[in-house]
Amino acid sequence: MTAEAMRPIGAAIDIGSNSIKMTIARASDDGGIEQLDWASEVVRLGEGLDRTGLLDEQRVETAIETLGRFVAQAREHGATRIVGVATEATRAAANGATFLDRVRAEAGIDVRVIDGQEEAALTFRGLQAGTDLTGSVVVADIGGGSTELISARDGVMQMVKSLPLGSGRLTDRLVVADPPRPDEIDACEREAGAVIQTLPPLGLPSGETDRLIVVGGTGEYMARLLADVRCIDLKAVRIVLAKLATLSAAELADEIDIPEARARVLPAGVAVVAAIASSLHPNRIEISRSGVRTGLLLEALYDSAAVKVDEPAAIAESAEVPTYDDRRQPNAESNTVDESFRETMRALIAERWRVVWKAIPVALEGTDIEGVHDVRVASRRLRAAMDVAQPAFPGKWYKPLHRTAKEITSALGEVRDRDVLLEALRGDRSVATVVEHPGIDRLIDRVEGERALARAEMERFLRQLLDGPLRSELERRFWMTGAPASEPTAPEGGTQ
Amino acid sequence: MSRAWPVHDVDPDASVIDNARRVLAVRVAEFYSFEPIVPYPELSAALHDLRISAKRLRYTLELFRPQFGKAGERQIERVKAIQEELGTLHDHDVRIDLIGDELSQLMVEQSRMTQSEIADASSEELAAIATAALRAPPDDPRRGLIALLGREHTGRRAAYTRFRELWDMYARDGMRRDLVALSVTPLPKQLENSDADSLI
Repeated sequence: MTAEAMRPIGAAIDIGSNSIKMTIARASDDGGIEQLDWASEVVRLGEGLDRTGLLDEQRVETAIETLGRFVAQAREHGATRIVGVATEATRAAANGATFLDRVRAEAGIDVRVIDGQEEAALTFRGLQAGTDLTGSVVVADIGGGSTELISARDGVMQMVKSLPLGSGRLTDRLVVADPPRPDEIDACEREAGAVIQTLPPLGLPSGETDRLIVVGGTGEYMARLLADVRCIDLKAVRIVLAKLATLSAAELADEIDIPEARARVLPAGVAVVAAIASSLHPNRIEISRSGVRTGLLLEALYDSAAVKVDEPAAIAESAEVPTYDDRRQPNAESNTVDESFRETMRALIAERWRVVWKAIPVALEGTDIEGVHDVRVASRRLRAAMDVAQPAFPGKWYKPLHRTAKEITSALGEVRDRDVLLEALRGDRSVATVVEHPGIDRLIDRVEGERALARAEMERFLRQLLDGPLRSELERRFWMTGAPASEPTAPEGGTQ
Repeated sequence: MSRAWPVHDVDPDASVIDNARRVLAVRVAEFYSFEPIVPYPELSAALHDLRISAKRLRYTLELFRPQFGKAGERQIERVKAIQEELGTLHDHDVRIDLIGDELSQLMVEQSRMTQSEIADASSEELAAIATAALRAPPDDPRRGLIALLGREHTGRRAAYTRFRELWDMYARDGMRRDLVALSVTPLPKQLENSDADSLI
C-alpha cells in the first residue's frame, strides 16, 4: 500500500440554511487536506423558518434524501470518517432535533448542531490552514440564516460574534421582485448595517481592520462577478450589487453557474458584505475558499477521537466518543464556549510557530535588520505560549520543541544585540565632534566584527532548522501548516 | 538572567480562563518580587531581571488577550511602558559596559606600546616618550570613548528617572491591585466590563 493510500479519507457535511454541502478529502503530507471530491445541493432548509419557527416538511424530506446520497458518495471514495454539522436553521427550528433523529436513522450519520461560536472556531481553524492571517483581520462567514464574524490579530482569534443575519432570511423578508429592485437591496444592506451597529468593538485597535476575509458561498459567488478579485474594496462590492439588481435569479444562475435558488439569495448576501465593509472600513477585502468544512475535515482527519463510520457500531456509540468538540466545555462565567486549554494552546502554538517559520527566510536574507528582530520577538512569544502549555502535552516530544524555541531566541540574540548597538553607535557618530570619531569608529569596528561572527553562527543554525525534521514534527504535533498553503481545488461554496 | 518562576498548577483539563488566571498570578508575583530593588538605580543586573519579568508578564497578558478582555489591554499598556523604559536603561548599561571595556583594552594597548618603546629607547628619548604617553594626540580614540561614556551615563540617569516616575505613577494608580484582580477567580464584578463578549 502506498503512503498516500494509507492516509485516512474523510467527509465533512455542512447543513446550512441555504445549502447542504460536502467536501471529501484525504489527509495530506503537509498536515492539511487534499480535496478529492465535493457536492452541494440547494435545499433551502431554512426557508420560511422566520415565519413558522419550523423546518418545512418537504424540505426536510429533500435534505434527508440529499444526505443519503452524500454519504453514499463519501463511502465510494473510501471515506472512513464522516462528520456533519448543522447550523442556524436546525439550531433555531422547533423541530430541529426531530430532523436530526431522522438523519441519524435514515442517512446513517450523526450530525451535531453547532452554535455560532463553534461554527466560527471551525471556520477559523480551516482558514488558518491555508491563509496568511497576520495583521488585524475580520473574517465574515455569511450563511443563509446567520453571519459569523471573527476578529483576529496576527492569527489569534480575538472575538467571535454570531449575528442573526443571513442571505436567505433577508431575502425572505425584504426581497420580492426578481430581479431584486435596488431599494430592496438597499433595505437588506440597511438592515444588516443596523444589526452590525449593535456589535461591541471587535477586540481590534480602534478603526484598525487590515483585511476583511469573506468565506463561504456568498464570497465565492460574489467573486465570480468581480472584475478583479485581487483588489476588492467597498466600491467593487457596490458595483456587484448594482449588477445584481439587473439580473433575474435565472440569469444570474446562468451567468455564474450556480443553482437558481442559490442565485435568488445572493444579492442579500452581498448586501451583508457591503454593510460589514461600510462599518469596518477594511484596507482590503479578500475571498477565501476555506471555511467550516475545512475545519471539520482537519478535526476529523487529525483528531484520533473522531468518529470512524466503518467501525462496527461506531454510529450507535458515537454519542459517547469524546470528539474534539465534545471536549469543549461551556464557560459558565462568560456564557460562551470556552475551548479546552489543550486545544487552544495547540492552535496558539501552531500559529506562533508559523509566524517564526515565515520570518526565518527574511532574517536569513539579511537585507533588513528588522528581519532578525521579528524572528526573535516571534520566538519569544512562542516561548511564552510553550512555557505555559508544557503540562498539556507529553514531555517526550514537547520538550525538544520547547528547547528549540529557546535556542532560536538565543541564536538570534547575539546578532540582534549587535544590530541595536551598531544603530546607536552610528547615531552617536553622526552627532559627535570630529575628534570623537576615532573612538566611536573603533567601537563600530569591534561590534561589526562580533556581528559578522554571530551572524554566521545564526545562519548555520537557522539553515539547519529549515533543512531538518523540525517542520514535519511541528506539522505532526501541532497541525502547523505553512503559508501560503495550497488552495483546495474547488471552493467550499462551489456548486459546479 | 533570572529564570521564570514555574507555574505548577496549570491544568490541561481546566478551561482556558482558569489556566490564564493561574499563570498570570505567578507572573504578577514574579514581577513584584523585584519591587524592593526599584529605588536603587545602581542595581543594573536586578533592573534587567525586572525588565525580563515584565516581558514575561506582558506576553502572558497578550497570550490570553481574549480571556482578559479590555481590563487586560490596560495592563498590557502599562507593563509595556515599564518594559520599554527599562529597555532603554538596559541599552545604556550595555553600551556603558562596552565602552568601558574598550577603554580598558585601549589603555592596556597604549601601555604596552609605551613599555615597548621604553624598552628600546635611549635615555635621551625617554622624556619625549613620557610626554607623548601622557599627552593624548588629537586622534586618540580615548577622547571619543570618554565623551561617549559621559553621554551614556547622562542618558542612563534620565532613563532611570523616567522609569521611576512611571513606576510610581502606576503604583499610585493601583496597577498591582488591578493585575492581582485580573488573576483571581472569578473576575471581580467591577472588572467585568461591558465587553464580556470578548471572553471567547
